[in-house]
This record gives sequence, C-alpha cells and structure tokens, in this order.
Amino acid sequence: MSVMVQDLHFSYATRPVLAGIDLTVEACEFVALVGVNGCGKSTLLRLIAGLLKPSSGRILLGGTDLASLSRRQVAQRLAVLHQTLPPVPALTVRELVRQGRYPHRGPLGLLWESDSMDEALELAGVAHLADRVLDTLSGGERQRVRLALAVAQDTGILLLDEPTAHLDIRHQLEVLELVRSLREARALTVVTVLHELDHAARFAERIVALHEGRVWADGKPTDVITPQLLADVFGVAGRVVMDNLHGTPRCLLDAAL
Amino acid sequence: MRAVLDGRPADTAGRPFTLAPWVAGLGLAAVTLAGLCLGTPFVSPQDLLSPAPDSIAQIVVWELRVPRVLIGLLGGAAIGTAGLLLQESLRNPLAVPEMLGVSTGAALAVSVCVVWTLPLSPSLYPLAGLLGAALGGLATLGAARSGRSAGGVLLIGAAVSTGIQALLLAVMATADRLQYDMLFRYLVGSLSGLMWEQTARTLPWFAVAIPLVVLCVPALALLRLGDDAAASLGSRVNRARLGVLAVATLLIGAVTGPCGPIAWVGFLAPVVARRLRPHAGVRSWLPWSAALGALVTLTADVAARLAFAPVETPLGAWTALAGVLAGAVLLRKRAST
Amino acid sequence: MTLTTGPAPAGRTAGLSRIATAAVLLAMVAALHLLVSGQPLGAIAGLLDGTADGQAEKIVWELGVPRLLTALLTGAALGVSGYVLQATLRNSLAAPEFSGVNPGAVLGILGGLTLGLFPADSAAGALLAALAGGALGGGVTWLLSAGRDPANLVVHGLLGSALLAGLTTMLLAYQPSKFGNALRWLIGSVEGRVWEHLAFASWWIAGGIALAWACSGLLAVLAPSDDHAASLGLHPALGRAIALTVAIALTAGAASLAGAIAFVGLVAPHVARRLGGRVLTAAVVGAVALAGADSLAQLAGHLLNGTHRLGVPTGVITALAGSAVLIRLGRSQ
Repeated sequence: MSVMVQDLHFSYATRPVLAGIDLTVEACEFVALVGVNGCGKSTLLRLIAGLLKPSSGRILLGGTDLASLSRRQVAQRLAVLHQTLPPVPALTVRELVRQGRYPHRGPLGLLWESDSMDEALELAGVAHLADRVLDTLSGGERQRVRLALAVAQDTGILLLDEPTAHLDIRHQLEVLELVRSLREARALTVVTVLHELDHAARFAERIVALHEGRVWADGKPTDVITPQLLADVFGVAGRVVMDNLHGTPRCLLDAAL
Repeated sequence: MRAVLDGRPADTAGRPFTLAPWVAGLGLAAVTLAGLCLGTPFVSPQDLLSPAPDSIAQIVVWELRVPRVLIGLLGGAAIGTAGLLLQESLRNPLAVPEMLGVSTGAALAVSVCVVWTLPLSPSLYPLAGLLGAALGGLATLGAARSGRSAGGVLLIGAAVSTGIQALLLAVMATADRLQYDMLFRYLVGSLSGLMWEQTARTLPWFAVAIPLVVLCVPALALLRLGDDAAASLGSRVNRARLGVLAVATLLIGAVTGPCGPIAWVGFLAPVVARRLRPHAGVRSWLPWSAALGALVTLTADVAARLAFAPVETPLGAWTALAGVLAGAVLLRKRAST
Repeated sequence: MTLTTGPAPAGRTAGLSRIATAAVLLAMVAALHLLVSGQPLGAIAGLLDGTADGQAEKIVWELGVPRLLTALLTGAALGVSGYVLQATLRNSLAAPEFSGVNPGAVLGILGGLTLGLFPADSAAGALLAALAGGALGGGVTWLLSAGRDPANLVVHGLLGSALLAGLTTMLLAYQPSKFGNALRWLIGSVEGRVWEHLAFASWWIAGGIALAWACSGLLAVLAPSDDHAASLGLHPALGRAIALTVAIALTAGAASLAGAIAFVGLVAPHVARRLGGRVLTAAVVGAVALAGADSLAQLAGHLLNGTHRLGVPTGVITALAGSAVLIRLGRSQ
C-alpha cells in the first residue's frame, strides 16, 4: 500500500514544524526518515498515522484520503510503533499482541481471531515468550513483541519511530533485520525514523532527509548520504566511505561544525 | 531584594507587596472588632473600651467573645503555619492537615469519650482531643517511618486518616441523638461555646510550639531542594521531614482538641502566602501563613455566627467553602502558567 | 479461522478450571456468610428445598440471603468499577473512592434523602441520586486534574473526595436529626437491604458488569497510552468517556445498595491482575472480598454483642483492611 504526502504543512500553535512536504512512498518500499532532533520527522510520522491533523495539505493511503477514513479504517491500513510503550501492570505478551486484532474486532468488540495472532508471534520470533509479562522482558525482546503486535494488526503500512532507541548494538541490528524480514513476509510498506545514518543506509532502500520542515534530500542511500548532507543537515564535518561488503555508504564523523 | 536582582524595577514589582501587610493588618483588626462587637447583644466599639461593670454586654464580651476571638486568631494562625510546614516538607500543595490523621484522631478520641460515657468530665474533652490528635499523628509518623518519598508519606497519611475516619463513624454509629449534637463539632469544626477555661488550656501549647516552628525553618530550606539534592547533602532527609511533621501535628492537635477540624485553612493560607510573595522563602511565608490563617478563620467564624443568626452554622463549612473555591482557582491558574 | 474470546484453544481447559475455581470460591464464601449470620443451621439447610417454611427459614430468606446478595453484588460492582478506572486512568491507585465518584454518589443519596426528593426505601430513587452524585464527583475530580499528569489524579481525587465529604457534612449540619440515618451510607453497610432493593439494583449492576466485559478490548487498548489506542483504531477520548460512564454507573449502583464501601474497588483489581484475569476476575474477587468482609463484620458484631445498634458496619472492616494495604503501598514508593 502506497503513502502519498502532498504539500503538507503543520505547526504547533504558532511554531511551524513542516513547511510543505511532498513525498510518495510506493507499496513495499522501505524508507528511512533522517534529520536532527526537532526537524519534524516524528511529526511527519504522526501526521501520516493520522494522530495529528495537518494545517494544510493531503495524505493518501493507498490512494484514499486519510481525512476521509475513520480511526478504525486507518488502523486497518497502518500500524505504528511509537517510541515508547508505557508500562502496564501484569500485561502479558499474548494480551498485548492480541490487541493487534482490535481494529478487526466484531460487533461489541468481543470476538478476536487468534490465528493471525499466533502467526504474528511466530513471525516475530516471540512465540516462546507468549505467556511472559511484558515488563520482565529485555529491551530487544520488547521491541520484537511490539513488532508482533504490528504484524497481528495485519496492515499494509508499518510506521516506526526510532525503533532502535535505547537498544544495544546487537539488538539494534536484530530489530532492523526483523523489520526487513517482516516486510518481505508481509509485503509491508515501511517508513521509519532513524537516528543512526549507517543503519538507514544499510537497511532502507531510500532515505529522506528532513531539514527545517522541508525535504532536503530524497533518494537512494548512495545519493543522499554525502559530506554535504552531514555538513548542511547535521552540522558535522565528516567523510563518506563505501562499505564494499554491503555496497552501502558509511559515515566517518570528524568534528562538529 | 530578589526582584531587584532579577533586574525588575523595584517600585512596580514592590508596590502591591508593600501594601499587602497593611491590608492584612487592617483586615485582622476589622475582623477582630467585628467578632467582639457583632451579634446579640450588639456592643458598640466605644462600649468595648468603657464597659459598664457587670452588665450583660460586659459579660458576653469578656466571657464569650474575647476567648472565642482569641482562639480563632491563634488557632487559625497555628493551622496556617502547620499547613505551610506540611506543604513544604512534603513538597505538595495538597498536603493538608486533614490528610495526616491528626484531626480525625482528635475527633475519634472525643467520640470514644462521649459515646462510651467514659468517666471524664466534659471540660477535659479538649485534652482528650489533643491526645487523640497526637496519637493519630504518631500513627501516621510511625507508619511513614520507612516511607521513602514525600508522595509515599502523603499516601500513608491519607490511609491512616481514612482508617481513623472509619473507626470514628463506627463509634458514632452507636451514639444516641443527644450525643450526636455534642460530637458534631468534631466532624465540622466550630468555635462555639469556647470560654476561658478551654482557652487557658490551649494557650500553653502554642507557647511550646512557637520556638519549635522557628527551629523547623532550616530543615524546611533543606527539604525544599528535593529529596535527591537534600539527601546528597546528608542522609537525614527523612528525619528532618519527620521532625517537621511532628511540629505540625502538635499545632494541629492543639487546635483540633477544642475546636474540631477547621477544614482547608491549612491549605488556603500557605498557598495564598506563596502567591503574595512568590520569590521569598519559608522565612517570609511563615508569618504570612499565620496571619492569613488567622484572618480566614476569624472571618469564617463571624460568618458562621451571623449568617443564619440565631442558628449558628458550622465554622468548618465556611472555611471549606472558601478554601475549596480559592484553591480550585489558584491551582488552575498555576496549571495554566 | 476460529472465533474465540478465550486465548488459544489450548487455554480453554484453563478457562474452565478458572470458572470452576471461581464458582467454588463464591459458594464457599456464601456458605460462610450465611453460617456466621447466627441463624440455626437447620434453617439454612431447610432453604435448599426451595421454600421458606418456618420462622427461622423466613428470617434467613428475608434478611440473610438479601444481605449476602447485597455484599456479593456490591463487591462485584466495585471491583469492576475499580478495574475500569485503573485501566482508563492508567493509575493503579485510581479507585471509586479516590476519584470522587464514590463520595459523590453518597452525597447524592444523602442529598436526595435530606431534601426529601425520594422516600428512604426507594431503590430507584437512591440509584438515580447516586448516579447524579457520582457523575458530579467524577466531574469535580476531572476538573481539578484536567490537563495534568494522570499520576497526580489520585491526590486530586482525594481532594475532590474531601470536598464532597465537606459538602456531605454541611448537609448533615443542615439537619442533624437525620444524622443517625445518614451514618449507614457514610460508612457503608450491606445490612438491612431487602429483596425489593435488590430487584432493581441487581439488574443494573449485572448490566454494568456485562457492559464492562464487552469493553474489555477497549480497556486493554486504552491502558498503555493514548497514542497506542489511537494507532489501534480507538478514539482515546471516546473510549475513555465510555469506560468512565460504565465505571460511574457501577459505582452508583454499588453506592445505592451499600453506601460508601471503601477500598474494595482499590484492592480487587490489583488481585485480579495479579491472577492474570480481567473484568470478570475483578468482579469475582470483589464479590468474595466484600462477602468475606461482611462475614467478619457479622462475627465482630456477635462478639461485641448488642452494644452496637447497627452492628459492626462492613465499611469499617474494608476501610481498616484497605488502609493497611495503602500504607504498604506508600512505604514501597
């Protein structure tokens, strides 16, 4: 399912955050949003998820205007992994993943299918954790469980807001690899906010760099990740080298400008 | 001083504040005068100074109104002070005396005396109240002994308070109608019927409490920094907090014994004091809380006596009204800024 | 594709054993409750044939059984109401008595009685008054805490409850002669309810619990955060409004039967979650807790034998037990 953003403007009270964003993400594409803190990438994600109302402009999910969809219809098309999931006492993995069926609930919200739920647990590799309490899991396991929830939601689009934050390097890779394999298994369109440029270059097919509320660069990792980007968008002097094993660019950072 | 340091012109920032003491002083004087003069019989201010000896007016003023006004002033001041001590030491504007089990403890002690007809002369009930208040406060302090955070202490206070309240209602459930009337003040708070006898028994407690309150000031300055900062200055945070709570208990108990709980004054006075002097410290808020507490209590008592005369309404109802209304306004304002 | 409300098909036997456990527990606490009522064993057993013949059997049928049912229903209602409040307000201390709902309901009942809006024995009148008061109390708390950290809600709830208690006292000051009657509502007591009271309230409470059960998906989705709920297709504000309405309705139903029973609504949901259960578990735990507390209250009443006009009110037992729990919570903070 494709995502189309047309001339999107947004401001918090009087502070403009997004000043005219145009972006088209094709079905099954893996796009990373990068930029400094406060550049509006999380805001853009929340707008696409329908959690914020744009000041002007349109967002289309698979060709349908987001504004014309109900909350539930949006949730049937698109799953979001927010930065944090606040703790809920005694919530088990199975209970949380089951919530993925909420947008597909029957009348009265009573009947939840459990087949696709088990499938989601398997796909995310957390079936063995199903009866554990969420708060007792490690950070990496929690992220996998939350991805299972997104899979159970059975959507065409997956939005991720810094899925690797607060994880150690092994779990960062593990989570991103899982996202990649889920995308292949379910033909998901993935849009993720990432802080780590190397990760973005490695896992995403396309990188969109946001700067001061606008799209500063948009294209293949090799085209977008340049010393110019590091200097102009991130304020860092650095070099970009090629990682021959993966064929992706890598950043060597030298100094803050 | 702070205003000057902040670079604000001293005269524009200072003007309303330099007026405030005069307004408060005048208000106190006016309410005191009203408390002495108004009512049946009305006694004009001139007659206060040169009373006809042994006239009814003289007896009413001297035997009934003077002790009542005195207790109102001192009791209000004590409750205001206690409220400031609680709010500062628990760092929460909602840490009100009612939530410490102190006022309910007093009420429980007196109810037990009355309902189970213990062999105790009624003139000693205020003393029993004081004892109950101390026990209630001790129960909270004892339960909070190992309480880590200010929030935890508040919760424990609420728990003890609720438990005592339940016991109080259980005792009351066995009372008969005559006894209800006697006990009623301990549910709502009232200054009615206070004479020199009770006043004389209460005053020494205030004399004991005043130096203790002064001793609390440095500890409060420490506690204001927050638990972590205070703890890094020494591990005696909890002990300091318990000490301050004990002094507050003493103050509240001394008032609740004869008057019952005077609701919300302990909340209102410190909050207003802090708004009047937002940049000052505890040292300046303390006298302000005391003065405002006295002002509110005495005003409410005059209203309680006169509003529906000849029937006296409970003092606590009026203070609660004032406290809740003002409190809601103040809290909302603060939330919006 | 199978449609099921339980976890996986494998969990079905577990579900059955849960139901069986709950039934046994309820039966045990019911038997205990009737046994300590002080009526002869024969009279209780005699009821099993379905008819109440003989004086003692009539007493059990007209007083003992309604008292038991009142305790069970009130406890279930409070347990579910607390569960709903804790999930919706994301605060493990949110409970009917801490969110102004319960004190408000009591104020409503007392206000209605004092102003003579409904006769003292009218079940529907008490329920309506409790509903209005509960909504008022919840509203006051909401206003006080709006736009703030939900964790602060409990303190504001206590403040709102104190305010409502103050209003209640003023009401009593207005007519001190009715104080004796008012006490029963203030402390909370399941005594003295008869079949007429139950007939109305039982439908109400059962309906409320069924509604809460139907909302269990909504509650689960709402529990983590507003963003989480919205991403799963639930309008957070709408979901909260629905859940809170159910909670207030249940609390009002409980209050109209038994007045201000404290702490069942706080503790029962904790226990239910600990047991890995949801709405229905909270209902069972609440019912068992209150019936147990009332058995204790009856026992204490026998021990104090006769000095108490009202016996020992159940609310006192729950309040004392609850403050012990709360003190432990405060210490662990």
